[in-house]
Amino acid sequence: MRNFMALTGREMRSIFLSPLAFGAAVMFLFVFGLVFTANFNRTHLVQIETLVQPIGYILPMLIAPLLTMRLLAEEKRQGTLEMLLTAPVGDIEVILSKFAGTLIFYGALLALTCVHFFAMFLFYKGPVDWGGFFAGYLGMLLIAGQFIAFGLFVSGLFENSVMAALVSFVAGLLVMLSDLMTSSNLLFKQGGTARDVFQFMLPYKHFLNLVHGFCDTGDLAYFVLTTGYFLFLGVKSLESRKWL
Amino acid sequence: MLEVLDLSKRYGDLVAIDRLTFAVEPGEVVGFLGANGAGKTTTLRILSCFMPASSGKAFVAGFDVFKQSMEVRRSIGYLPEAVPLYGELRVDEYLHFRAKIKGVARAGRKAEIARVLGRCKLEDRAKQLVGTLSRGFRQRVGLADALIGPPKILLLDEPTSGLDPTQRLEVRALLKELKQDHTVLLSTHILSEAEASCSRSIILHQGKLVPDSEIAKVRGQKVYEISFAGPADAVREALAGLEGVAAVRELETVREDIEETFVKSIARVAVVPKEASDPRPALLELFNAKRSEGWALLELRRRIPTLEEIFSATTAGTPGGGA
Repeated sequence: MRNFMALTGREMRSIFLSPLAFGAAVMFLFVFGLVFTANFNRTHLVQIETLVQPIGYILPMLIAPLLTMRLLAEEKRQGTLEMLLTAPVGDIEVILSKFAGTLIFYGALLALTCVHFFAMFLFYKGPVDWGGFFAGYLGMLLIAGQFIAFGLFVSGLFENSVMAALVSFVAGLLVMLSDLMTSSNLLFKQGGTARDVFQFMLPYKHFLNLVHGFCDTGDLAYFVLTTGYFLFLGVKSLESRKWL
Repeated sequence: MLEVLDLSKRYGDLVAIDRLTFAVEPGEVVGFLGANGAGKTTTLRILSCFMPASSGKAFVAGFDVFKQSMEVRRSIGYLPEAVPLYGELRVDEYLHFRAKIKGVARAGRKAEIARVLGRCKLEDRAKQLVGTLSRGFRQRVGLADALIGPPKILLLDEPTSGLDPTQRLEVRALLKELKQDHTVLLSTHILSEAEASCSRSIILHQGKLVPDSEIAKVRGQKVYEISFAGPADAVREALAGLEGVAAVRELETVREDIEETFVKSIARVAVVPKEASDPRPALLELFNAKRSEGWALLELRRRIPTLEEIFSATTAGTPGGGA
């Protein structure tokens, strides 16, 4: 645990001081604000599901590769991974700390976007659906966690961080397109089991449930398990140095 | 303190290290010599638990490298060749981070960092960003990191590579101080460094260990260093052809082609005799015979082979480089 805290602290410091992360943060906040305002002007609805769609899903797909691309690839390229893994720290601690540091940074960005909601609530006379609000933010955080865990795993496969970013971005894009095509019945017939199973494996439906305020155990378990699986693959990618 | 038994590492068909067996006793500073690609870094990476071996066993501070990885990592201070450091941290922050993950107790952490900063003469740089340090100072930070703990064993991979002569001397002086508290395995291909810092050396050649007996044999052979005046190429050729001479290695040619004085050049060579033979009578006879042609023996000295000569003999043929 002591190692985990020390490693997470260093990760956070590294990411909070990274110009790339700041560039990604500026892009994130600008696009989020823009889409939020556009959605509100279009619908005049005080509903998180309306206001953060589709940005709550697309933004982590764009930002996570930028935040995760250097996590392992750069450490491999610079050799700092050798320093890290010859100290008494475990591979799991390394992966979890990198994941935690990046998720905390993303969480901080999400927290900043709350300003839009709080400003809106100030002028809103009706009852605020705090449950829906928190579930929506939980959904945005969980889907980001999934993308970050995936990006971290991909970063462990490369020494070139640009390649890592590209692969995790293309993979995210393919997942989103698959989701869209499944929803539009382009991949499978409507009502078929194959369609249901495929859609269950993709994140959008689970994300949608959460931003609609349905905090279902199944959706939470989906995100926890898939994120955990990608983190497990991340640990394996770190262990792959021993397979040669 | 450090024991390696039949250790091998293969990458597919390529054998990086082949059945290495050696031991380092407590308090020893042992040079781990080899040309680039001989397998030194691979061995150190295995001993520091960064990668596994294909076969064999290794024990560090009594712990099995392959079964007790954490205990081994707690017992060692490792400095990789490239000295990879986190450039965004200040020197003291970096060492603080490393002390934390190496398990130095919170109460003693500050004192430990002050100790290693002092040991590596880094006090003035404690607040400087690691990324802005020169190569020499980065090397010192890497050494300071390796010293945190303090560990029982130091595994240092080319600790002076890329340093200027002054910095090299400073690191050598530091290594001498480290003898008192640590067992050191020092990998290098700079032989003068090993000669200056180490109590003994292990030589690795193409992944294989040169047997101690072979090193002792070469060390026991004497080398005759001579300075002469005369046509350098012709003299060298004649020396190489003498009975009892195994090899002649050029050390230095001072002057060349001074036609007016008949002296073609003044040169210094190392004459390596064949086993148990003394080439001096033949040498003297040769120069006496060729006196009329301007050959003159200026100096003749018998000495033990340098580490460089031992290295070159055990990895290529004979002391003196087999020239």
